[in-house]
Amino acid sequence: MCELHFCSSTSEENALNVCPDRTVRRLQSIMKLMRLHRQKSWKVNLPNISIRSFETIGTGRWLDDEVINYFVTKWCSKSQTALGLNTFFACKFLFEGSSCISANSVEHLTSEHESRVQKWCLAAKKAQNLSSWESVFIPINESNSHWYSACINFRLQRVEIYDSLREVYLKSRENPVPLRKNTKTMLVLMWLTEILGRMRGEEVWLRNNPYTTWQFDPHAKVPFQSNNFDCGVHTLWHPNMSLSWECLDFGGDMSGKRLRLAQEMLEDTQHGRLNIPVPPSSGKIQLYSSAPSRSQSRRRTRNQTPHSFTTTGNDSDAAALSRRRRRQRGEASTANAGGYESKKISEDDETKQDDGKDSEDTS
Amino acid sequence: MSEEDQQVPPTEEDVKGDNTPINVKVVSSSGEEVFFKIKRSTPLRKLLGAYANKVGKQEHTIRFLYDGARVAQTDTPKSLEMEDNDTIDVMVEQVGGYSP
Repeated sequence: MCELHFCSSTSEENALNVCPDRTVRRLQSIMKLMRLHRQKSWKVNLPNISIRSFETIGTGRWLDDEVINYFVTKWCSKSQTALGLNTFFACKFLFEGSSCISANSVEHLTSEHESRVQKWCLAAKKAQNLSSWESVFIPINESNSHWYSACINFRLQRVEIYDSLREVYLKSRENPVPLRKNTKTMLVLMWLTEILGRMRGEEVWLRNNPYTTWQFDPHAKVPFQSNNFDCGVHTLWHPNMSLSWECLDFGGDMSGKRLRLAQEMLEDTQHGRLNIPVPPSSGKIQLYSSAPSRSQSRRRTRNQTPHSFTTTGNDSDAAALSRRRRRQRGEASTANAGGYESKKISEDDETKQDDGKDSEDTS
Repeated sequence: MSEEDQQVPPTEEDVKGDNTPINVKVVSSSGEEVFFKIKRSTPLRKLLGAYANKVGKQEHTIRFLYDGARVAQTDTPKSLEMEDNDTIDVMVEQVGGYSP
């Protein structure tokens, strides 16, 4: 069911990875521009997202909870079938303490816990504006150093845990079930599934029930991360797999995914639900490091919200800005997309603008 | 487990409306509790500031949740329909990339 995909198509994602070097350079130039904005106190005006959080999308950085929560909420809301819980749910209810190392024993969980779980789920449902849901996605942060996730799917009657670490997968697969890393976590997820079933008005009996039709995989096969920083990005792409129920091929270089996250967040900043001041435009960074095809790019520019955003290396300069706009108007190649000036400039131009001398603040 | 009454400094907004102070319990993920008395129209960001100050953490590393929903900068006890002795969960910033 392709409509269940959270994100844009795989071909678009792959397009970003055709020239990883260029993708990385694009991402770096975004982060460079954001750092300049930071000095001028310009903020990414999205709920709970600070520049500090935004910068964790940069190449080699570890994603923070704000970024994970932002996209889980947004994409689950878009899917209209998945309920995305926040990154604090797991440490509050599924594990002992906030480090999420040792899963809670189900015997210690009470009806008090159940009523609080229900409140948290209702809060998430409200935040995502869902009328109903058929799966629940739970991001998990382990010891403030690793992201992985769990998904409970009522339509397919499956509970799975996804971890992008190859070592964890291989080691656990070697071990007998009781010794596998996530076995105890799976037990507490069964407890959670029973509660969620009650919320859906279904009788779900999983613990101590050998006759259940549900299936459980505490170490589901997922693409592995090829470095020591991409688990957060992998985690954000896990719901795609659990909902479409196919093993998507997104391993290897995740720079394209990171660029996409940065682009999407900046687009939301400009076009978003909030009343957000649009930074004066001058520079444009394209989403596609390598466009899938020329005709596709043209179609996108004409018909849709462009997968591009306008930003500037020096937004504080009203005089230079108006000069620049006059200059842009004089040029035949100027395009206007989505109401924003989207004059394409070279990276050299960006550098020049970064060095602008004027100091009048427009924001 | 520490248990103290903290008074959040009143603001101009406190003058308006039904403003009887309520007690709010802020509970950390390790179960430590701090009690605050706060007027119903005082923005909870002030409570966050007071809490961060109290526990010696930077404000931007702290997240407040009320019944699982993130407390926004502008939320007040009144806007969240909080009642006396309600609990706010406090969580800290999380990052992740790799588990050695």
